[in-house]
Amino acid sequence: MDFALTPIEPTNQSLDGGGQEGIKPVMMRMIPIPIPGLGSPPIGRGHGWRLRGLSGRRVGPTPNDDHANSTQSANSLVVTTMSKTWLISGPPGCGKTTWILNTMQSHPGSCGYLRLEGCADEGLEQAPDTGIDLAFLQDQIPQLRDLTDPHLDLASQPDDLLALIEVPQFRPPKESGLIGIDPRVKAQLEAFQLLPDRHLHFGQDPELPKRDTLEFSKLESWTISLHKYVWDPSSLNSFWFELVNGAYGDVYRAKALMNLPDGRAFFCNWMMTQDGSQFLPLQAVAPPNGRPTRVSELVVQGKALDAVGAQSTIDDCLLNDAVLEMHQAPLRDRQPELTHSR
Amino acid sequence: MAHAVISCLHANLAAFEAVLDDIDQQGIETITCLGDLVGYGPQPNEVVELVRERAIPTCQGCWDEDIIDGLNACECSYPSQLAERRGHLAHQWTAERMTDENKAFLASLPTSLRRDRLLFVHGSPNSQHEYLLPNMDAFAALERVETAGAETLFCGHTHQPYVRELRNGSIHVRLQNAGSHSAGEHELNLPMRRIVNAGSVGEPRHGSTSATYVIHNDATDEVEIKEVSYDVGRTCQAIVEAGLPPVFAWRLSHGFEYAEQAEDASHVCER
Repeated sequence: MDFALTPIEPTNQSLDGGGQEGIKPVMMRMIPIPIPGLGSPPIGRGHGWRLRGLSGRRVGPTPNDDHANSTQSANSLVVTTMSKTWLISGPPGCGKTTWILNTMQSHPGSCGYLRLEGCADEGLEQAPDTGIDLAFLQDQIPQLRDLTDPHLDLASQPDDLLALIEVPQFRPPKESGLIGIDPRVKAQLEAFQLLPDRHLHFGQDPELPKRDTLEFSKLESWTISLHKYVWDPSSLNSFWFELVNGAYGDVYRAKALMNLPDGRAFFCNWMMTQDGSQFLPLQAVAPPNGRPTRVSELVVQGKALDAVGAQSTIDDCLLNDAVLEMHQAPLRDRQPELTHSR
Repeated sequence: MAHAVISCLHANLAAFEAVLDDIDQQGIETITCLGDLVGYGPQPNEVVELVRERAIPTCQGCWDEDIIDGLNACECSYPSQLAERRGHLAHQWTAERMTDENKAFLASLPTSLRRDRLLFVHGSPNSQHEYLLPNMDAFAALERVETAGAETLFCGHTHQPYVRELRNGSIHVRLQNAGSHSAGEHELNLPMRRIVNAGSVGEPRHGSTSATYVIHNDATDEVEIKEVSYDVGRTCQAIVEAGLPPVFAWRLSHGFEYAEQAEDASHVCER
């Protein structure tokens, strides 16, 4: 038997106790509901069903128990009402990562993050997870737990852990709440031994901002790894201008993590519904000693994308070793005051 | 008598033909061209041949010079590595396709043309590569016109058409010789001078895809900036068919110049 959680008693208290508008905690009661595709929890094997992102304690499905205390049942799913493990879904560019960042930054406790692969729908291609969302969030929140880290022992994590799981999803769920989780997403959650206690979808759940939530009928994706590549800053400016203005196809969404020769990196973010691009500098600055090793990727989604043309332009924008050295040599003398790396 | 001034054709035949039609329809017979017949665009030979066929007096632009002499400016001419790569690609493409006869024509062009107190240059009287921007220092602008002995200076190169009148030019000089307690003072009051930028026929940088040129009336001294729409799609198709980067066509069709202006456009490469 699988179980899902249904809300029983909204309260007026904000999640983090800090008065975040529009987001309210929901006390959960365990109700046994079959969830197609999630499969049965592997009870009886090793540690059994462990809810990563929670405290790891097992709570039995005791209908009268609305509190956070653990109870155990041999055939039950393990959940704690202390837990905050949320699945955040929505179409490309709706602001999932931004919302997650803001939520984590206002959460007084520790935070964990996981980005699941989105599932393609007919005519709608999902961009693969390039790791730039995680890299950006880890830069902004240095203590962020990576929920995919196999060495992360969530059992020893504090109870106040807020685990946010992000998944791109084009279509709104047919039903709100946990029951509406796409079976393909459930399979991924199961692989990570995770079970969220809330599911929020952009464009459907009023707690989430509604702007930039688009419905797509056809979408292509194009991703390029820029690992260890460094951009000429002015060329990056020109390329980004051309990209988001349609020189390489009808781009609906573009995001990237790009390296500059002075060691800085920028999280570049653009959505067709927004007026301009975001260029958010990472806090960590790479030392001026050769090519940076941080994650660097470009993700583009749209229609009739001209990957060949874009790649050709990108090739003309990237610095070779000699030019990069010209930029870095003067920085090395000032390294202690200018750079720090994590 | 009205005469037309055109500049910066950049191998854009459709734009050039449309401008010529517009000039012809107004019965204007005298045309002066300020250079940059080639560069970036797909029809360098066709444009040069039409200039020759119409016997249009033309001064040499920076692109015309570079095609003959080879690229001689350093990377300071470009605002970015991307712009430099594209500029070099366009240069090589153009140089490979131009006929010897047309190259010889470009090589024969003078750097300036003069008609009475009217001076025609590509960039400035000092250099084909110097930008006389509409907001450049007024004293420097006045110096360019005055030292060239002109009342009205016609230029191009910036691809931004404008008319700038330089009034009330006054230079006050106080000169004290060594060992002398008295100083001589001189004040030089200059009559109004004018800079007229013709914009660009083939690569506009004024916010629309239209070609621009100017009409100057000798009798009234009036200047009119003209905008002419043309079949941009025809040139874009020619760009793609010629094997030039498709992004050139995209930029042209959206009214963006092929390469942005250098960050410090007033800088002139001394190489």
